[in-house]
Amino acid sequence: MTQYLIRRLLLIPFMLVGISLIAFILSHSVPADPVNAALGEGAIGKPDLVRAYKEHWGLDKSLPEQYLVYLWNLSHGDLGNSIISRRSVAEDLGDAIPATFELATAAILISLLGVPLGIWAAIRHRKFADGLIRFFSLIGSSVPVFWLAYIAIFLFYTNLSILPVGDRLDTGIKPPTHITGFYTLDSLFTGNWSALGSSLHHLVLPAIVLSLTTIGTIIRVSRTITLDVLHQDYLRTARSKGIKELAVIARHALPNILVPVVTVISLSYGSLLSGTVLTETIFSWPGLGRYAFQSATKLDFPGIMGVSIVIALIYIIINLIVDLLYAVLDPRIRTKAA
Amino acid sequence: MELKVDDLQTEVVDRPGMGSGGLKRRRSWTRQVWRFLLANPLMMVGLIVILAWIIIAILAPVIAPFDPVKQVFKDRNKPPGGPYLFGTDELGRDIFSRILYGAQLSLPVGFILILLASIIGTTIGLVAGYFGGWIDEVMMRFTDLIFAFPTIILAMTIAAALGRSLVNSVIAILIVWWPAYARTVRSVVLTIKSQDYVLASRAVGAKNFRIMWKQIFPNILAPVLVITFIDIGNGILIFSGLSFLGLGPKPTDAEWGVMTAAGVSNLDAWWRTTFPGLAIASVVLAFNFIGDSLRDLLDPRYKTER
Repeated sequence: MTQYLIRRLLLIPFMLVGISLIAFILSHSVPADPVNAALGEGAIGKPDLVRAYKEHWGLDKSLPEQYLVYLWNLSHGDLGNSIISRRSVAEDLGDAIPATFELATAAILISLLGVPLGIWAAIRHRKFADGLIRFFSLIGSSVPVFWLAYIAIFLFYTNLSILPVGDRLDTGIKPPTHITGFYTLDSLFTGNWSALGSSLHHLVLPAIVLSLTTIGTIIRVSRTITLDVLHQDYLRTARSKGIKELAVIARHALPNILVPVVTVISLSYGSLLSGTVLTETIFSWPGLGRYAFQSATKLDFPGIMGVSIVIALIYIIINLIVDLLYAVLDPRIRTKAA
Repeated sequence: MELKVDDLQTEVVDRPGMGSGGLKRRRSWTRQVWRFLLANPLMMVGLIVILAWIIIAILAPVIAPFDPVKQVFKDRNKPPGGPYLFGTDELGRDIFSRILYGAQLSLPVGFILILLASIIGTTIGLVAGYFGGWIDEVMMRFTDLIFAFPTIILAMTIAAALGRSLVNSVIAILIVWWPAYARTVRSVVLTIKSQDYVLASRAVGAKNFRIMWKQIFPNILAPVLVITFIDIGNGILIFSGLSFLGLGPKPTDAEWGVMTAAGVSNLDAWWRTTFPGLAIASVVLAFNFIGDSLRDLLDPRYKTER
C-alpha cells in the first residue's frame, strides 16, 4: 500500500508537466504578442518594464528554454499574472478555489440523496419505483445544465423572487473573516448571522442545479451495485436463515455496496470541481469554473494554465483519497496491504 | 465519457425479454425485434423520438410554418400563441421554425462529431494495442496528456483560440473526445490479439495490416458501434454547451445552444430559452434511454468495476 501510494505521489509532477506542456503549446500556437497581452498598451512606452518581463519569462530565448523557465517559475509557485485581472494568477485562484469547493460540496451533499434512491430502485427491480427512479436519473444526465439553470432562475428569481442569483452574498454584506474560505462555515464560526443567511440563500439555487448533473450517475451506480450484491449467494444464505429482508439489506448488503458507492461519490465530487464552468458562469459564482471560462474566452493563458493545473491537482488528490478510503472501508484490502 | 466495451461484449442471445424464444418455435426477425421493444419501453421511446427528430430535420423546409431567418419587426418577443406556436425572438423570428431547422444542425453535428472521434480513437487504439512497444507507449502517453487536462477547459480554450465557428468548435471537441475511444479500443485489442485465430493468421504469414483489418477490426466493430451510438447524445450535449458559451456557431445560426443563450438575456421572454432547451433535452434523453436499456440488457451479470 505504501509503495503504491509513493508511486501515485511520484506521478503527480509528471501530470503537472503534461498539463503545463499542453497549455504552453496552445498559448504559443495563438498569434498574439505575449508581452503586449500581459502588460497592456501602457507598457509600450516603458522599455524597462518590457525588458524585465521578457527576462522573467525568458521570452528572448528559444521555445524549449521558455518552457523550462515557465516550469522553474511554476515550481516556485509563480503562475504569472492574469491578463484580465492584472493580479497574480495564484492570488486569483486563492479566491476562486474556496468558492468552487463550497458550491461543489453543497452540490455533492444534495446528490447523496441518490444513494438511497439507487438502493431503493434495485430492491424494487423492474417494478414501478425502479422505473420512475431510473427515468429521473436519466433526465438528470440528459438535461443541459445551462438550460436547467435558466429554468431555475426564471422560476425562483424572476417569478417568485424567493432566491437570489449572482455572487455569493447580497450586496452590502461584507464577507465573513477568512478562515476556511467557505462563506457559510466562516460566518457560522464567527457568529456572523446575516452573512450566514445571505450566503446560504445564495448557495441554494446553484447547488441544486449543479447537484442534478451528478445525482443521475450516483443513482445509476448505486442501483447497479445493489443489484449485483442482491444476487450474491451470501444474501440468499442470509434470507434462508429467516432474517427479515430489511435486516438482510442493512447488515449484509449495505457494507458491500458502500465501497463502490464511495468511489463514485468521490469521483463525482472531483468532476464537479471542473464541471462547474456552465453553472458558475450562469450564476456569476466567482469560482474556478467562471475563472476558467473568462480566461479561455479572453485567451488569458497564464490564467488557463493556472486553473487547469489546480483542477488537475485537486482531481489527483481526490483520487488518492478514494484509494485510501478503500483501505479504511474494505477489510479485505486492508489485510492485503499489511 | 464512461466507456466500457467489456460489458457490451457479452453475448446477447438467450436473455429473457430479448425475444429469443428457445428451440420450440422459430420467430421471424421482425417479430423478435417487436417483442424486444415491447419488453423495453424506454428503448422504444428513445428510438421513436430520434426517428421523429430525423424526419423533422429532413422535412424542416416543408413543415416549418416560417422562414427561420425571416425577421418580422412588429412581432418581436411575442409569447407563444397565434401563428407563432413557440413565440418569437428579439428579431421577430419564429422560434418553432428555428427549432425545426435546428435539428438539421444539431443532429448531424452530434453524429459526425462522435463518428469522427470514434474513427480516430479506434484507429489509434488499434495500432497502439496491436503493435505495442514504443508505438503504444508514445500514443498512450499522448492520450494521458489530454486526459490530464480538464476536458471542458481544454475544449473551451481550443475553441476560443481557433475563433468562433461551428467547424472550430467541432474540432475542439474532437481533440478532447477521441482519447476515450483510443483507450477502450486498445484494451480490447490487447485481449484479442493473443487469441488463437490471430496467432493462426500470423502463422500462415498474414501481414500486420491484414491481421488488423481482417481479424481484429471485425471483432471490435460491434462494441465500438454500440458505444459510438450511445455517445451521440453526449456529443450533442457538449456541442450545445460550447455554443451556449458563445464558442460555437454564429449568433445568427438556428442552433439550439445559441438560441438558448440568446434567450437568457431576456428572462421575461421564457419561451425563447425553454423551447430550444427542451429540444436538446429530448434528443439527449432519447439517446440515453437507448444507451441505458442496452447496458441493462447486455450486462445481465450486473458486473461491477473492482
